[in-house]
Amino acid sequence: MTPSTANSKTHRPFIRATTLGLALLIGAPSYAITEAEEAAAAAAASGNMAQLLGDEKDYPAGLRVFVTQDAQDGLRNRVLNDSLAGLAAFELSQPKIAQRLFADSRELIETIYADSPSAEEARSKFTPDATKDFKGDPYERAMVGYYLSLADFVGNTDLDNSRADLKFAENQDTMSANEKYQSDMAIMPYIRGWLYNCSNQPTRAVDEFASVSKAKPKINIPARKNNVLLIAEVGVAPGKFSTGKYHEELRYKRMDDAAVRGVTFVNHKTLLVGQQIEDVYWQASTRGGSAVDKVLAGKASFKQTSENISSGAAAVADVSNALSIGSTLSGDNRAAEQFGNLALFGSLLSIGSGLVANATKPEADTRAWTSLPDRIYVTTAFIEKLDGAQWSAGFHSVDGSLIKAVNMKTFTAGACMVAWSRQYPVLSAANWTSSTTHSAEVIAQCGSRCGLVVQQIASDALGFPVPTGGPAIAIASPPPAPTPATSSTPPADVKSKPDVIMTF
Amino acid sequence: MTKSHTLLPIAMSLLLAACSAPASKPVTYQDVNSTGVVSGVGVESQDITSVTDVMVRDILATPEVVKRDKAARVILDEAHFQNESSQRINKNLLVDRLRINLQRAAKGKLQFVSRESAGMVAEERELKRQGMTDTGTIGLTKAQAGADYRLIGRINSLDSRSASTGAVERYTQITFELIDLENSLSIWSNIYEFKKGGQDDAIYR
Repeated sequence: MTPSTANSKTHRPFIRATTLGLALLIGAPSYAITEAEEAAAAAAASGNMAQLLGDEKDYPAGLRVFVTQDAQDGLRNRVLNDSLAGLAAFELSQPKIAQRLFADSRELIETIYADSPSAEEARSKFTPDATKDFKGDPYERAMVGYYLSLADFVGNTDLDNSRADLKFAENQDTMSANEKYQSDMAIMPYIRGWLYNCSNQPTRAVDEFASVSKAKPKINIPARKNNVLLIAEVGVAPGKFSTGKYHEELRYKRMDDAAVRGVTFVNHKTLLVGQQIEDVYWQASTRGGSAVDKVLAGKASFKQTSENISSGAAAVADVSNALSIGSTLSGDNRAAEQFGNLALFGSLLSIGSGLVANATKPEADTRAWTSLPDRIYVTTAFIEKLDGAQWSAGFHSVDGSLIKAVNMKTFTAGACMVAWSRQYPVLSAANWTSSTTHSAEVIAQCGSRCGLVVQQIASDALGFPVPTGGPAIAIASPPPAPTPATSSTPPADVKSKPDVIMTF
Repeated sequence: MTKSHTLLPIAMSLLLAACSAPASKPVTYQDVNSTGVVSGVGVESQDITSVTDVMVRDILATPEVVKRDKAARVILDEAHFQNESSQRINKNLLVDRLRINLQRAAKGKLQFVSRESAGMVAEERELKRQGMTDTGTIGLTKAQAGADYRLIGRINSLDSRSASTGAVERYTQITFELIDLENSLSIWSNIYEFKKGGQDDAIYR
């Protein structure tokens, strides 16, 4: 038996196995989706936002981008696209449309994913975490409840659902691993208390405000008669990015430049200073470890092991190959054959493990609700006549100087009104008209460097971490319009200096 | 060695071929009493049908309400039905089903006054009295019907969640009372409660 003949015989089973393997691979489509099934799946999973919003003429053109994106993404990103579109609808003064979108988000968030194919697939080592249907992190889920409560408020004398949304929001915050940070979103009981006052249930309001004072003792509690809730949302959403050798660790970064540190509200001759009541970034970053971190760590460990096996087997193959050549040259054909076989096995093992390592996807899911604010400021007021009442919001720097002022969007329900504003627009700056009178009123009442604002900034700093500013974003240029959901790549400058590491 | 040669490519091929097809399902009618494929821990269709069925049976078994010389007049709408739970709910789903099933089953032993239609009825009465329309076939009445009883109720919930396991539980309590609109006495009450729990997949925790 010549060596070549022996090798040929030795490799025959391998060739057979490879042929069989290829046949299985080629035959795989019989187990995979057919074109018809794919079309049916696409139809079932996409276009739901279009169904929610109805005919194109029934909703503003500004929302079309989200409808199109939803049709492409389907259920996987529906919560995210609904939330992005819902907030945009709110900015476009379309609270009823926002209500439909946020209600859909909430329903999907509340659906328990047990034995779900999508969840099972995301848990697989060979699919990235971002494959799963997006439900958002607890802070994002809580903000769905917050915006839905505002949408449910509008035009309703029955404020039960609005309060229920805030309870839902608060429940999402109980997912924090650290008890200290569970249910610490003071804005939820604050608004709920105000809503109870609107519904003429002051006893319930007192209970809610007691929760606010417990969480944030510095917050001023609204007077019983105050029928206007003023909200200013400041800054840009917390950033999510992945780090670690395989990008398996999810981290957050405050993306806001903290240029705005105080807020004022004006109605005719009334000037009010807003108090900070929520820090969205803080809520994002204090969640602590989660179960999915373990799943991702397991995937990363598996990938690392596969890579180690691959490189180890490659080294064995190299050495065996050299020994095989040496044996051949020295005329020891039997040893040459054995080393040759070992080299072949090592190569195959290396290739196989390398393929497995490459196929393993431990990357963390960095999809994020990009149009959220960084911080929220509130106060309340009483005005006799709600009809036609116009409020403006001014955004101030740390020294009390007014940076810009916009006319607020107002929504009424019965005898109460919510006036809402944002530092950065969700869709376009054109949706927020500048206030021509705000500056004059601020200067007249508290000077160009408003002392009341400076005083409030100091008070806010006692209850919240002082934002130090992330990547610079010019105040004049709004952040990029909310991009529909895709897995984002981490910003280059933040990879090496995370603020919070989520560990388990 | 030969075995390894044989198994490795097969295993690799199987691994690569193991892609799963996304599930899809055409639209079908489903039993309103069944647990749907999309489920959470809140009030669902089967709860609404169960609670209203129980209340209808119980009200009809209450002599003070149904065994009277003259049929009692009841206002049964959502105006005084409060949702104090954490679930967003359209309360009309409960009270409408309750009223309609009660009206069908009572067979005249109860009369229902539609207070939410009072404005609409007032407009029509005004047209009749102005002579803009004729009096219809019923004729004129001195005033709209007054009611003897009114339904009040509340939906409460208690949510609990384990941060470590992701287990979610919600205890829901739905209470109903019929209040005498003359003396404030509660002449009938009942409670319906249930608790649901679930655990989200680890990737959502």
